[in-house]
Amino acid sequence: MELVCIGLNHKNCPVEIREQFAFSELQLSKALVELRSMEGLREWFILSTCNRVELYGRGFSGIENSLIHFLAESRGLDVCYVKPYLYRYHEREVANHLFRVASGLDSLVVGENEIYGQVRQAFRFANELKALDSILYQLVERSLRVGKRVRSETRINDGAVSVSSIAVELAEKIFGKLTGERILILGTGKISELTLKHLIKAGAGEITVTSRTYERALELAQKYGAKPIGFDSWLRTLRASDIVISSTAAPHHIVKFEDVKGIMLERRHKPLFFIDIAVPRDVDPRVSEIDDVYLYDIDDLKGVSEANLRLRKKEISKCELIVERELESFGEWYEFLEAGPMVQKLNAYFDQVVEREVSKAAGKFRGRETELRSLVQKIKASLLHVPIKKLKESARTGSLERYLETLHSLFQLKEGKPADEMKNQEKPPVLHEIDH
Amino acid sequence: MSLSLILLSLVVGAYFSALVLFVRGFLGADREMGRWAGHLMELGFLLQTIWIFAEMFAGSRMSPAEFHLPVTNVGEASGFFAWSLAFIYLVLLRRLQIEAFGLVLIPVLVLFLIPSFFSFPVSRTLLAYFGDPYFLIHILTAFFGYASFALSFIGASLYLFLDQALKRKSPVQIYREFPPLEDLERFVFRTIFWGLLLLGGAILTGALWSKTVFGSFILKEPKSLASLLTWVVYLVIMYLHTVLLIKGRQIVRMSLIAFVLVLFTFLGTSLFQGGLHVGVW
Repeated sequence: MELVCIGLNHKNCPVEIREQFAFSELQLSKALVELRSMEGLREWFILSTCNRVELYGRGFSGIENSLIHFLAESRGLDVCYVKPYLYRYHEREVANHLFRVASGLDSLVVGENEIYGQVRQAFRFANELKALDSILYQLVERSLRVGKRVRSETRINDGAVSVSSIAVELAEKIFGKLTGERILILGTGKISELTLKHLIKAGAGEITVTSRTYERALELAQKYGAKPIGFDSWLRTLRASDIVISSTAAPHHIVKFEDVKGIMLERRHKPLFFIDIAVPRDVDPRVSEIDDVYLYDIDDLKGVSEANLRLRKKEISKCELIVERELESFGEWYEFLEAGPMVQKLNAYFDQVVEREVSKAAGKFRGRETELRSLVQKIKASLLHVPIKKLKESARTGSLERYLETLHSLFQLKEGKPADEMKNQEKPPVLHEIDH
Repeated sequence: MSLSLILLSLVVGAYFSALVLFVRGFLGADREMGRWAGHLMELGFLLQTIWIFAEMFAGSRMSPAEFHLPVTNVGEASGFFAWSLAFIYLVLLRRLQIEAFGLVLIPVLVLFLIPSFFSFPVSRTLLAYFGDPYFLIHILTAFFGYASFALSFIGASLYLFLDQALKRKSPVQIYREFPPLEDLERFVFRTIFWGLLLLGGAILTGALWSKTVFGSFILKEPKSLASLLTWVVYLVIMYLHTVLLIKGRQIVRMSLIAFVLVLFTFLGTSLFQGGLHVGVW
């Protein structure tokens, strides 16, 4: 049995290639069902996001090629075309890769949270369609645990990194949790729309949109339930606004120092936050000299983004340490699976011997059978305690094979298929346990 | 080493450990640090409360059946003020607790606890009045009132620091753990509200006590006049903020400046000769 992962991501493929491989939700379900008929495949799992497509599988040798063929065929592509784009991981590498993916260490934006949800969603899908069994189930479940630990024990996901989310974070640093703050949009650029979307999600209230072209203001306003106004009346609206997102194509400053100064007196110095995304800038930079006015232009926002990314990168080593520890723990568990059947057989052998001797002595202990059995079980447990402990240790140190051979020849135990026999013993946790 | 000093050392130890954890949390070493620091601060406060009670019932100066507030000399008063600060922050303003605040407050608490390690002469005059309920309430409300204003000062300092950090686009890690400006402003004016209420109570009960003891509402002495002036100035600031709805940096800065009056009233007036409060602190 082998554990493999094949896939491609943002590091080795541009978006035009990635989009050819991506699975929609419907296609994903279909693929998970189709994989059932793949010869030699025991468990499988597909992770498909905008930045990566990965197929995980456990089965008999040769499944790596089968998975590559399946990926190519299901996407309607030629295998020769697909192969150069793929990375391949085996055994421990698979766990290492998935742990890093779930932690956000392999993401385009280090530490992003979205990937955690995507892994969890893919896990649900695979689980519902009974694609996961024992080892891969454990692996994905553990990867979610790593993802959670990394985010709660380090600051890898601290600080926003996109312009729009930085704007929201700064707004929240000024106004606290947004509860109906009024937004004024000057100009209708793509970034200002994205920022608006984030602010609405964060709890911002009434929105007013203006643009030199009224129709564009109207279009954006209709999309977000905002109020469109003519470009000549925005200054009046500014008095009642708390957050201003500006991105007009004006060649000069449209928000003037004197105007804002007057408005701040009328507002009784209620804070006013300008997000100036326009180049050339829309807001006179002197505006930031006025008390309770906070002005961030596109360079300031990018500066915050870079600083936050630097902070995140500083946390990587801590995350790697967590991944390493979890990897060790998974490795131990995985290794010990090999010893599982031997432990079972050893137990069975002892039970058999005990049963035989107890039956012989039963006549002498009439009426005290329960006590006798309990005593014998205790002796058995004491005798087996050290050997089983040693087996576990040897799984960790890598000398399991030697111990298995010794036990085998000492007690004449029959051969067995290790991991497969353990499959049913390792009862996986239920999904809600993983969520919390 | 007396029990009092052992307790005091434990209090300082708990506060100091909390400070170390707050600093580590602030510098980003570990997310959990802030939470543990908060618990240690609460432990310090609990130990300090035990110390206050131990001091109250210490029978060295009075008969064991009686008690006195531990404010009879500079050492005791300073320690009691530190306890009042912690009480207002941890009990009265529990819902407004801010991690960054603990970082600033703990050094202040430790600073005020230092004189308690030394012995100072006890004011016998004060001991004689502890039986009067007006006097007792006067002392308590005055301490809690000043403590509230001290907290508003710390809140205002944090506000102005964050305001400047945001204006100058300082690196995020400098203010990452700070609460939002609006929350800080709310904190400042909530503490001023409590300060006004408590100092008002102190002025009133002080006047009533002087009426019962001396037969008149004695106000013509430095501390009483300064207290009244402090109260009026804070009342004006509160009026500007809550009635005229003035917000932001200017009003917060005013509250910061007003704290100079608190310092003068609490400590500075002791430099003047004469008056009821002379020789106390």
